Amino acid sequence: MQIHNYRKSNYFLLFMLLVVVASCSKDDAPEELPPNLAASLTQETIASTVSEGGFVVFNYNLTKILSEDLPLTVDIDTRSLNLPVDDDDYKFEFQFKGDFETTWRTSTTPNIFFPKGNISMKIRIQIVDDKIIEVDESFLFSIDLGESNINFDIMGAAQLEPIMVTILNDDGLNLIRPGSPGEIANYSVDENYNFAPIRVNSSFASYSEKALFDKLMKEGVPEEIKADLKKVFDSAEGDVTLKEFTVLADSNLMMGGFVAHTSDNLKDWQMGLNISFAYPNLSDLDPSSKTLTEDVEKAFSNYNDGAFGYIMIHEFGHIVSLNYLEVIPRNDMGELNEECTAEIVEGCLREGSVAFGFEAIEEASSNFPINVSTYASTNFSEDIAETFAWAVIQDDIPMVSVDGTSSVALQKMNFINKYPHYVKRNYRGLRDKINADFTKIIDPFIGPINSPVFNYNPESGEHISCVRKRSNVQ
Amino acid sequence: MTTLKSLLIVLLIVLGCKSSGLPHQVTINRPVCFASCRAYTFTAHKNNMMLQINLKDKQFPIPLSSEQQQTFRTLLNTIEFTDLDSFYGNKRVYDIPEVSIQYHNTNTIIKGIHFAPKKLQTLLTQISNIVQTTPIEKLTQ
Repeated sequence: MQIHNYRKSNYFLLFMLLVVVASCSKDDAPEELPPNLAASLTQETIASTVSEGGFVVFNYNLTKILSEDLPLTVDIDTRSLNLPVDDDDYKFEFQFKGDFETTWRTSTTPNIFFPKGNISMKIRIQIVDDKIIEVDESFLFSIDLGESNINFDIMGAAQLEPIMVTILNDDGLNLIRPGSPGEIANYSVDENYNFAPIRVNSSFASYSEKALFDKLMKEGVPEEIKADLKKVFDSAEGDVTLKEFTVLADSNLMMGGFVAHTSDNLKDWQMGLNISFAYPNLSDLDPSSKTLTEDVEKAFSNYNDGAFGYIMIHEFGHIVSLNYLEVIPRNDMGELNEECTAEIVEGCLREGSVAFGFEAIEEASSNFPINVSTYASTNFSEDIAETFAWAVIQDDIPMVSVDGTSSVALQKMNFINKYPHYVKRNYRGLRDKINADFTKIIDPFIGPINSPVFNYNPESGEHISCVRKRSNVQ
Repeated sequence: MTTLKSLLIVLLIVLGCKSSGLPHQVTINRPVCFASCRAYTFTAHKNNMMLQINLKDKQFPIPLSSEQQQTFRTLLNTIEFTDLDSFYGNKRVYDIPEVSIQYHNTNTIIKGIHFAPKKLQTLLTQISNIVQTTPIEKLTQ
């Protein structure tokens, strides 16, 4: 009897289970959608920001549920923006799902669809979490109706504006600080010429500056620049040290470079160079070019047409004429220890320094031209640095004529060329050591500046040889 | 009504005086720099102003549009030239482009215009933009 009752209850349970299963499967069965291929399509936003490593999500809505999947094409546009993302900043993979769905579909092509039976859909893109310092970069995301949707009647799709997506950089935030205009990054330099960023300025005036910035942040200071800097500073045989290097990227070329001492002993120096001069083709970059990535790489492969090396040597000219061999440094209080007849910012000019040599030449002669260039005439420091650079890069330096008719500029170049500190360290040898074709430096007024002709008479249009007498020219 | 009219007249006179420009001549000079920036001289006195590019030994005046003149006039009237320091920048740094300003008894050297007061920066940037973008062939014809 008990067994019979037990069986009976089991049958009952089995029956109930069948009822439940049947009712469940009935609920899960695809509902027959009323046929509809017409609706209006809208988007929820026109701008979005996202952090690295996250997803940027786009929401689209229909006014009526469609009975068929609506084909869509997505597009990512970086060409028309000033600060576009790099292709490797996001995953080229589009995930999408309808609002009634729990699983994301994935497409590795731009072809997706608005799933039928949904009033809304989401599309998302994964942003790559890299460790590269970048600026906040953007891309434009848009959708369009796919080509195979001729049976649909979708309103509003053509009016959808591209959505501006901005990716917020989260790397190196402690290093990012506003710098001077054109300054991109400041590096500390150790004795092995390892460059470590200590300050980064992520505001640019042009796409070429951004291209330089991206290159620097990904790969560091280009090896060819480091190599040239090392050769230049090695030539000083330990007298001076490069402690900081600043990359300038002023594509308007309003600045060539700069130097400043970083320690009171005048041994350690900071040099800044505008590397837009190192890669001149960068200035021609067109951000809307379809071959932009290749264009950037090509621009970086064309290092140094001469001007950059000349600027580097000019800046080095400041250092070799303002270091402790030439100048008695100030004490810790910023004062001069002894009586000084020629005080400058760095300290007191030593007797027998280049500056005194130049002064003596100018006192003894006034044969034109006095300076190797117009810029050299601005002050005595620039005169020395410019004359140093010209003395290094000239193919040959004519001897000073014995009758005293040589120009002051030529006398200064000869002085530099024979100055014992410089001869000992063979600074003129730099012209063959560094990677620079000085024959390509053309001054619009005087032509190639490596030739032994270095001034120009604007009245007669003639180039003035540096051995001419003053009386021969105006 | 009469009081209102008088007030209006006084206001107009005050405004008129204010827009009559600088009482003393200001001269802004940028010498050649160690790069591609052009040397220029800008002078302004009362409502008159002149901008010229200095190329070697020759000067080339740049004609300023009335819009440019108005922009400069507005900026010049808001800059306190007599309050300017004698130096802005960092004296230890070489090859930073320099600008010198002379106004009445005040002489100012700016080594790196980003060190200058904001309104002066704007003025210098706008002058520089005109100087840099004016085709030199146009001036030499």
